[in-house]
Amino acid sequence: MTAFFHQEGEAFAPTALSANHWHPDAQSGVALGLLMSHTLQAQPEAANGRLARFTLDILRPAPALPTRVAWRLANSEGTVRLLEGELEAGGQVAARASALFVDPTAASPPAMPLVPPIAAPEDAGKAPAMARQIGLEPRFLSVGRLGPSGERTPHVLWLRLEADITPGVRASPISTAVAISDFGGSALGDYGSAWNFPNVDIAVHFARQPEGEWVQTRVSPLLLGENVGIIDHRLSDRRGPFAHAHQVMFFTRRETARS
Amino acid sequence: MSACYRFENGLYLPLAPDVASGVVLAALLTREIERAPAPAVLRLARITLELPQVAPVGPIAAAARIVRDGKRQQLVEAELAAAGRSFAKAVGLRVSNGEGPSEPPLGAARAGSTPPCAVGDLVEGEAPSASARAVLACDMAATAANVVGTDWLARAVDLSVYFARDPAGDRLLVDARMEQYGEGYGLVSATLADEAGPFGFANQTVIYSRAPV
Repeated sequence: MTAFFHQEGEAFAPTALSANHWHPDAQSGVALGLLMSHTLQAQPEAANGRLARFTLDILRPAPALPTRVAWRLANSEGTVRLLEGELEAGGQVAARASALFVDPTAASPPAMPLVPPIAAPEDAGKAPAMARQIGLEPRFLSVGRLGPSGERTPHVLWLRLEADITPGVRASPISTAVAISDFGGSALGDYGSAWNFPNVDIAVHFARQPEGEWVQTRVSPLLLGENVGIIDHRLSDRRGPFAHAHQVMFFTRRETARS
Repeated sequence: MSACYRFENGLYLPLAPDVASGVVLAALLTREIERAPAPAVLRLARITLELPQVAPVGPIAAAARIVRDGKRQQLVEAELAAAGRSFAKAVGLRVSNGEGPSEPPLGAARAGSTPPCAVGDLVEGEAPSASARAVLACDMAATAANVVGTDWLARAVDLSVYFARDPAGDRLLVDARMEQYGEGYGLVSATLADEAGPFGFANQTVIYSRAPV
């Protein structure tokens, strides 16, 4: 399998790579994020703009059926443009998103210096083969685990997309950033046997536009005993940091049915 | 300290001519989302505020609509308009109360605290909610974390606040830093804490203009 979707006219048909870990008949957060960010960047209003924020709300599981995305310009004021999009699958809106662009002509103070990450993707260990193909190549620098006193070790990984968005169409660095921002659950392996924890959103806040095919995330969960935990991502490319991202994770005990 | 607005017949009426600002509008939008009808007791888990325009002077009309309803999760959209024109918007994710795993936060915010924005009552006769006070405090972060010097002015055009739990108490810490890499915008990122410890995060996009000489 070489792509997450096949394009069928204006619709995108998900492949097996787009399957959801929590709902096997639905599309994954990675797939929804990839499709929304990919179609966003094709909008004329996005041309030449710099993406400052991308927020995706997952309203309900998106069935693995041909999927359509519609974007519209919601606001344009000075150097700022706001776009809103909806993703429809199986006759229902399953996700919606908003994106904030800033014109490249906007005034800018002198840039802050960038500090590259200490370790490159080539320094990281390849992840063991997964039970199913996911179209992504994660390379872990450190795997977050809970110690005996409840202290957490850092969770740091590089990620690139092995598969195309559609056959022959590679993911942009922005789409890769959105995909890795759905990867916070990989830091919560200690809870996998007792809890379900799908994320209900993905938000990426950019400080600059990313470059290259590899994106690194440093994941910090904030879990305070409530049914919602927040995942904090610090995203970098080979040049240095470029974004913060967050996921709201909704926890239910494994024996509890999800409504 | 007196209130910023009187709420009457669905309109926010300013009680002083210069009361409208991004920070106050963010709190009004938070109030609108928290006032939306819900099928169960829900709390705010995330709010994304879009403030692309400078706040207008005069009465403000507010409207909220439920985008996705449920007893466990609800998505609410709120909008502010003046003279029939929408100028600010927010999306709020509300969730039910329930249990989940707990662990000591990584990189907990530094010790210390700062008082939240001292605006008194947002709406006459009504104290701001804990979430609205946190939003008010976050919106001050762009100013507090402005590291680009006095030659530049920074204006926030959005704000996203994430709550792992409800904040508590009168004093909040916003541990913020700004990054900008010469692309016409900057990012302010903050860890939020109250006296019990960290409870959330905030991110804010800022755009720049040269300060008047």
